[in-house]
Amino acid sequence: MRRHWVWMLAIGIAACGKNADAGGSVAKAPSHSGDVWETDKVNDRKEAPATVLAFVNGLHTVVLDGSDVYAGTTRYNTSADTGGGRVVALSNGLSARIVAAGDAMELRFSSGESVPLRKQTRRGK
Amino acid sequence: MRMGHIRFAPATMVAAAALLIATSLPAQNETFDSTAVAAAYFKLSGDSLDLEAVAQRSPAVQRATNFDKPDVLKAEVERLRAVLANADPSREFVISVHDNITEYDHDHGEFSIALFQPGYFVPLEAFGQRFQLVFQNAERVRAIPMDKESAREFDAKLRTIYRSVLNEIHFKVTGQGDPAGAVTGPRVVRAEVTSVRLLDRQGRVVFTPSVTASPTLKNVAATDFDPAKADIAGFRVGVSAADFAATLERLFGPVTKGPAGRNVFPGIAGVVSMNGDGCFSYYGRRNNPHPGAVCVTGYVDASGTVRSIRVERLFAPVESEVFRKALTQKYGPVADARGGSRMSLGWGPTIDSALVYDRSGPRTALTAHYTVDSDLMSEGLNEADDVRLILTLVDAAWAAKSKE
Repeated sequence: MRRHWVWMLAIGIAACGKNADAGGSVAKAPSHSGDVWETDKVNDRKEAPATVLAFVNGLHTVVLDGSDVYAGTTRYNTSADTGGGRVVALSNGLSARIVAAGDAMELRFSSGESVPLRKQTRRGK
Repeated sequence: MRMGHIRFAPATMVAAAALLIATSLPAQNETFDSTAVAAAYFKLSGDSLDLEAVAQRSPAVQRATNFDKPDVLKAEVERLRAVLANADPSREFVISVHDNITEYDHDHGEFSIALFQPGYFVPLEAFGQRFQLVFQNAERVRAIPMDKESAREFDAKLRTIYRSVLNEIHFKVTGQGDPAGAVTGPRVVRAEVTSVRLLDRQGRVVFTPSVTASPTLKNVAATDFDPAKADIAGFRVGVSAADFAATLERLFGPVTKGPAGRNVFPGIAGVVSMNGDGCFSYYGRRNNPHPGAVCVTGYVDASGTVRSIRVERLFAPVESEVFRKALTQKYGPVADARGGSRMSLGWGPTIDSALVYDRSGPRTALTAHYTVDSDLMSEGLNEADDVRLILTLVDAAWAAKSKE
């Protein structure tokens, strides 16, 4: 029993270490699993600053697949936060939370900007 | 670019329609040695100075008779050469600038010192040339954080002095260029604030910012930037063309593949593209793009590895400052910056010009461009244009090897 707990602890520490790897790692987006989400309200000038920040960090169009976020050819391992959202650790101390907002999602940056995400409805996806 | 000459009057902040306009606040202390600052700049930056041309314009040469001019010119060139050789980059300078403190920002709980906001500089004159002095750690001294109650009292004090202060800055010259990318042009002197005081007209201290506070802009050298580890909008060089294409298909839509065109960099063999030229408008086109349009192009070498990428996206009207701030937050200090009607910033090592997306912009491994998207039809309309943001990334190490 004690050995079991030691293994659980070791796995937990390893997982935390992975999540702390800000900036993500190189990966191909999955072909089928997960869903593609993209920034909403693209014509809205009020949303433009948050959309620019999402674009620069590759989060303007992403595949959300379990705890992984695929932005371009970068994969981020997210961690769960207490509010039920997923936290993406970006480079240089910036992070973003992806939280459910009704049927949609919202991308909230640690610097204060936020923008809605909508599920991509492209045919065949 | 606007020059603001003020004397104990609020500095005017230009509300630029789209682009951040660099704003200058001139030095006030007459004893300030701008020649020594410029000499330290030349010593650290490697920027060249035409000693003979500068000597020709000097009062000593101008006063000399035609008979004496060759000798005086020679002596003046030698004197200038000695000034440059004796420049001391470790020297600390003190400059006083008439400045102002902004209104209280209720969202962030702080006042700001105008000169330390992005896009501000101190104009200097030396060797018959103009220089722009910027502070690499300006963001660390910009804010005067205060809770609302203290701020109310401080604001009342500021109103009695019309928000005007004498900004006494101690600094050292550290190199060339504005790491924030907001001040562009030739001879941008990069300096580091070592200490600073804000004084009122009577010389009483109004506020003393802490130089170590406010960690917004990571203070790293531009040479620390590694394009192999960087991404632009999530895309990275060094991945296989197949993975790159599959990712594009999943995220955005159909991909086209083809051979590289003529006049490309010698090592480039093919192109993988999504939405090709669908991110800019031109006259007569039926379906010009709208905000949200994304275009991605990857340039592939003979082994099937992506070596260069361009990612574009169209946005609703947004200020260039928003883009600049997001970029410097992600990539750190800017290595090269170009202004004008559009903004271009660069990071990383210099690359071959055949790999450069915009030859009027920086020749660096990673570049970012802000430009408006308009066609002839929309130019007469009284509405703001959409904005096109372009990011490019080149595998600089591969490019250098390919040229060998």
